[in-house]
Amino acid sequence: MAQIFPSPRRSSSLKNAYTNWRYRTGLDPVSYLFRLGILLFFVIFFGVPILWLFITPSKAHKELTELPPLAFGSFTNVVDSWNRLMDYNNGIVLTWAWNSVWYVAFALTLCLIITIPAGYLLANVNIRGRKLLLWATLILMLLPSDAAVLPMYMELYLMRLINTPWAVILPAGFAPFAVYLTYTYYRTVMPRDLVDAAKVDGCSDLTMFWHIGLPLAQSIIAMLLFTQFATLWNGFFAASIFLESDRLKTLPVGVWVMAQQTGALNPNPSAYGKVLLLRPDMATISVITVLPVIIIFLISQRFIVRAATAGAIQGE
Amino acid sequence: MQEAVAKVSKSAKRRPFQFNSAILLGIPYIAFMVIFGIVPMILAIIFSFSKYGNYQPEYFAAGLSNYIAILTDPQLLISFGNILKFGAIMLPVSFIGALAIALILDLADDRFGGFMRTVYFIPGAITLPAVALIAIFMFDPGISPFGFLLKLTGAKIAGDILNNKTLIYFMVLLRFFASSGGWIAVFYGALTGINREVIEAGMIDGCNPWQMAYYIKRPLIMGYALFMLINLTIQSLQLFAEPFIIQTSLRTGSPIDPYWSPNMWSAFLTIRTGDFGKSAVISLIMLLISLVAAVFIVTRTGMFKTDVVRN
Repeated sequence: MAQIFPSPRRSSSLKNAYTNWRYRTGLDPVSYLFRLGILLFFVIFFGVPILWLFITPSKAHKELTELPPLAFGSFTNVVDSWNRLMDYNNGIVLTWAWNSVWYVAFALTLCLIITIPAGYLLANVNIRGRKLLLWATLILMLLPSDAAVLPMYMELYLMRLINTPWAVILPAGFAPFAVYLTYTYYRTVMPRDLVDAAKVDGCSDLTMFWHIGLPLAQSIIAMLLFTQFATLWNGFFAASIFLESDRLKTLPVGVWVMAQQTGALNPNPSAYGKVLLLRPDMATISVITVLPVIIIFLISQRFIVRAATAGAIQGE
Repeated sequence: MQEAVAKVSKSAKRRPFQFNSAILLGIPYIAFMVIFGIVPMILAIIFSFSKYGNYQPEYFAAGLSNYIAILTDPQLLISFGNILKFGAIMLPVSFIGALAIALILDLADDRFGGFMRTVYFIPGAITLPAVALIAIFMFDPGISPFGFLLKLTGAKIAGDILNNKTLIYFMVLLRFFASSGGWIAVFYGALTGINREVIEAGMIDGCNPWQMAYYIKRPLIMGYALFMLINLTIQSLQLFAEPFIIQTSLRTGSPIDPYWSPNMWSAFLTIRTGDFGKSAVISLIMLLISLVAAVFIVTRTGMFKTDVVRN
């Protein structure tokens, strides 16, 4: 059969290759190059500092200025830097890392236990005060969490919780944005007709939550774990104020404490503090702090974006 | 459907009270909301009328004196002036930057764009003290990968670049670095959600991709844009971590004092002087502004549609 419209893929001519490319990208070459240029510029802006951070622990202090900024030093230097970090304050870095891990684990668990049933209740149960609760959730989730840190300090001070791990764990139980996400999730996955039909059949709300709501919760739990993990792990303002004792601090607060005590951040080199930590060591501790979140971010990018756009895309 | 829900809830109001055991599902949440969402605000109101000396409170003993003290303190204008200056630069930079990058990304759909998005997104994963640390190193001409550019300005150490005059720009850059990726992703998500038919109609009418981005796609994602603007405003009000880290890390000749932003000032009063009363007044001023913005977002922007809020 004669081909009336020869497929561009079969032809090897340059023109067809161009047509093919043009069809695929939808852009003319000048626009394409322009787009590429702008995007590459921002890749350098956003990417190079991170790349630098991950390379720096491989350099000795002197090599920071002697080697090109993005050149790799050696693994021996990474080990040296690690040893200096371990020497710092009797290895308190490990305590900070452990604190970060268990505070976040407790906080996440608490958050999920409270959030999932509450989101289900708001979505599927018609109780008195539901509207008020939903309104309060919407308003409180839009208040920046930092806004209430100082009033919260005063409250925790009265509750005698300042300078205890509970000062950072318990407040995580109140996560209105997570409740809102759960609410939109259940509204989407559980059609009202299904809920009403189950009720007509005599199913109580609690039974329905147990037999339908909870088994359906898997994907919302994944989304909440990803989005809340980053927030909780990175929390700085509250943690830096609520936890006074060195042994209770978390990694992000620890990075700041080290930066303060060593003067390694100081642009004026003569102002170095008493403790000898070098600039590569600050990079090492930063890498240790940010690596878990970066890994989670890379795995869950789609979830996090979906959570951020949940209101307009998933809402009714 | 929504009308039916509204009817059900209306008839529910008329029913005599019946205990529904499902309320058990919400009790822990309600309890935590009261303890960590509402009580702090009520406490702040009580404290703002209380007198503090040596950490010993005398409740309601201060009358309006804390309010008068804060509202007539010249530091109020200075602190709020600082964050206003920060906001005035950060808002347009972040907003136009994120919107433009998202629109440019969306010009073509290719793997390269996906990779770029991920790179832009990563800084958002990094905790602020580490971001501040990286940023200070980036401005040190001796070690920065951008050192060759910095040396063009004649700078030798980071202190030559980070000073009183450049501080705000430095913090804007920090914020843009750390938070744009998230916004770019949000805008990009919104752009990919645009109905294909609208785009095709534009193509038939002879729009080139750039015109399409500007005249068709941009107006369609303005709902998100408004949300972002309000959000950025609230965030710049709450400015704390960046100036706090700079202030405490660069001890010698730090270009920032401990009460540079309202939150820093409030923290200073609470922790260093124990004056919860005055600190509460500052927190309340900021909470009030944030509350107004939150109510506006919920009722006006259509970002968070629920069965109780419709736009």
